[in-house]
Amino acid sequence: MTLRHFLTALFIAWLPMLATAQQGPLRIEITEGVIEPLPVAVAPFLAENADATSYAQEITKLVGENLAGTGLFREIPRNAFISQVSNFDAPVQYADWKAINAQGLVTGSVNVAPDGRLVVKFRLFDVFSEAPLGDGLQFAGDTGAWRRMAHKVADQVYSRITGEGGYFDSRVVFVSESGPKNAREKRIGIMDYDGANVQFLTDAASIVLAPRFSPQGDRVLYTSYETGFPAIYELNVNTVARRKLDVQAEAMTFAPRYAPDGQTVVFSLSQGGNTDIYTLDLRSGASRRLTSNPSIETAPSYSPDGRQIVFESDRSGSQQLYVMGADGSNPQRISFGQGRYGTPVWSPRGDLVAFTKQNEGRFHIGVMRTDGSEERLLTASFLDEGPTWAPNGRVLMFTRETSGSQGAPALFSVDISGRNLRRVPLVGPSSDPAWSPLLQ
Amino acid sequence: MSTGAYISAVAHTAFILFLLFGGIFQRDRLSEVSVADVSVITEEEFAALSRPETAPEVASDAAPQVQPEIDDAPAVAVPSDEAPDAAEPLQPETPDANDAAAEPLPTPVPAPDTDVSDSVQEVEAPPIEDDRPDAPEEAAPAPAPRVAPEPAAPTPPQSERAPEVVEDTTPGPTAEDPAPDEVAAAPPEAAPEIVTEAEETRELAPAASPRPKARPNRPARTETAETQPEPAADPVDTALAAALASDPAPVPATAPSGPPLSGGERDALRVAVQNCWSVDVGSQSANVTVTVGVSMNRDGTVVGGQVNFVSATGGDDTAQRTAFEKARRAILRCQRGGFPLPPEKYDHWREIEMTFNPDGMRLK
Repeated sequence: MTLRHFLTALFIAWLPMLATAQQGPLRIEITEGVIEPLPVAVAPFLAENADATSYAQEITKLVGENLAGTGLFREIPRNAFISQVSNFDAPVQYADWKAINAQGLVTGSVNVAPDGRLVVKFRLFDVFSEAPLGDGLQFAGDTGAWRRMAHKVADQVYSRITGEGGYFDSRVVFVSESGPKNAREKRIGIMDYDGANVQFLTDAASIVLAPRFSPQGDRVLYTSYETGFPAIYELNVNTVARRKLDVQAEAMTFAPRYAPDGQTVVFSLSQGGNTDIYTLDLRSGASRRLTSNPSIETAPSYSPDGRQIVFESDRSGSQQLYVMGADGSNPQRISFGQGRYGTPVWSPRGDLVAFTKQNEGRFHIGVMRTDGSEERLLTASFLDEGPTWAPNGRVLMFTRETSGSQGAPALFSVDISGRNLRRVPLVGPSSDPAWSPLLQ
Repeated sequence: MSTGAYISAVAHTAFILFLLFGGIFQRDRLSEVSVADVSVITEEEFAALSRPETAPEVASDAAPQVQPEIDDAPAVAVPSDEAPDAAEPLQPETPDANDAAAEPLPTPVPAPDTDVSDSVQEVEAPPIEDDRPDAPEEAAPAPAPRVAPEPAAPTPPQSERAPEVVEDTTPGPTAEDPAPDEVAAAPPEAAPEIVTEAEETRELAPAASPRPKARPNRPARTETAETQPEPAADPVDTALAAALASDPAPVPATAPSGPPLSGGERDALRVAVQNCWSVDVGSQSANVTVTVGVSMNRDGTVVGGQVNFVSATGGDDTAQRTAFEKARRAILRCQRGGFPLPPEKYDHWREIEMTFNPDGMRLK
């Protein structure tokens, strides 16, 4: 018996050693990745006829610039390509693109149809999965709109790889500034998101401020000193026709913004030394007062669902951010950091509020959650102010002004991660940008 | 009856204890023998040197190819465990079978080709004999086996290499490997050992005869002890495997079922994947923790490039899909040469679940 027990014990002791081999899958947790641009190859778009040659080159270039400009992609230089795409419909040699570490491959072709319309086709491939990423798409339009078609291609590529909406096919209204610092002439301008195609919507006869796009991108609200007092105007982007909003004539009105429905405007009204927030129904012309504090309440911005408004107020003694219901109910302070907070803007995603912060002589563009948590400052300079969200809620554009008598404002953009800070090219001294929704 | 039973129990217990301790002592002896073997290796070299033509020819052919491979080996830094498999693939590709023994790492380099490893094993045995006459031409596969069978002394040299190349040594006991050892050993150790050990070679020669049993145990132990924290299980399994299997090939097949991956081996895989895991900290997908599953080939690559979604938490469907795509891209991109996983533990990583958790990176 003893021996049997002993052998049994030995056998039991050995069992775990023999049984350790098969125990389900090996489990690994990976918590540290890399933050780096995704390498993407944009193969030269093929020109299907002679007229399309220059367009093919320009569109290829612009698609690459759009993607690289996000900071999320890195365009692989063309001279690194091992194989060339000579036929839009030919199978892709994945091995050649893997070899240069291209994770995405964009191919395309451009054709000028007999009717003069420009037709742009593209495909996107996931190189390491060796499969197309989404279907091939085709855009057609006037040859003068080739930039928009390139933007749309880039938007598709961006969206398919990141899983988020693009923002390249969008526009920005801004205040163009010219002349010496003490006698600036200001005009409302509009441009592509990348600073191209600048056009002016107003003349320099009067000071204009704070243009804001409508949710449909067809109209712009802005503040003008045309009458000597600040007043709110609405401008049709296509016809450039404008009208003054009919509010209390003797009051100063400013800081307008559309509600998500596009039919309500929220703004500040200053009367008798007190500034409060009002709304105006564009259809009925009815206005409504949302705040009634003796302090200054201004810079209102709707949440994407239209149920809440974030605004700035000095009711606590210093300028801070507050959130209230769209009807003015239940205001709650959300900013508690040091310094002064202003110009809050609710993200199109609905998850963040961007703001300007002034602290210890420096200005910052920052973001925080809508309850005030997780505040992050994205920039710091002599003067940064007035953030506006890209349509996908991923990028902020703002005004940065340099110091000194020669100082001038310029438009900058920054990713909400705080990376990829860059100046918007192609446009002169400008301020007060407002991003449009994605164009249709 | 009871008296008889007691006597029987005591006798059996004593016998079992003797077996157990006897086994332990044998292990110790083996380790000691290994030291002796080292000296023997030099003897082989010495013999090779004394034999002017046959050995040198093989060495000369092997040398050029082997050296470059050696360089690659350190770079790979693959654990010694992989050496055996690696060595095998090398033989088919690089004709130098002899070199394989010396350079476990070089094989990892070719390792990317899973098929190669299998083919290598098969190729090894046959080519050796056939090639012996042909050796001068390609020299690689044939020379190693040839040399071994002829000179009995070669076996000791293997013992020295064994610590470096784990599994190569195990095949050695069969008596075919000694040849490779000669070739490989000659270049690195030739000068010092030859001079000093010429005297001791004779002593080692007799010692070699008992080894065949001991060798299989030795390599496994030494490797596990060095590379892995959990050597206990390995010796037993390897010993059993060695006892059951006469050929070197079966040994590696059974060995993987032993100890799980060590922390270092897990880290190697983790690092390999995370180097390709691109996290977009500003995106919604950075809120998603996604788990994916893969089936692995023995060479460390993903079967069919197929990465399966297992689960995800956080974010919406689009964000989860993007997070999965990023995880898949990371795995497929970094598997190029096969992940650095020990082949002898293949059973432990045949199926892998990887969880990609960006919590620590988000909005730093």
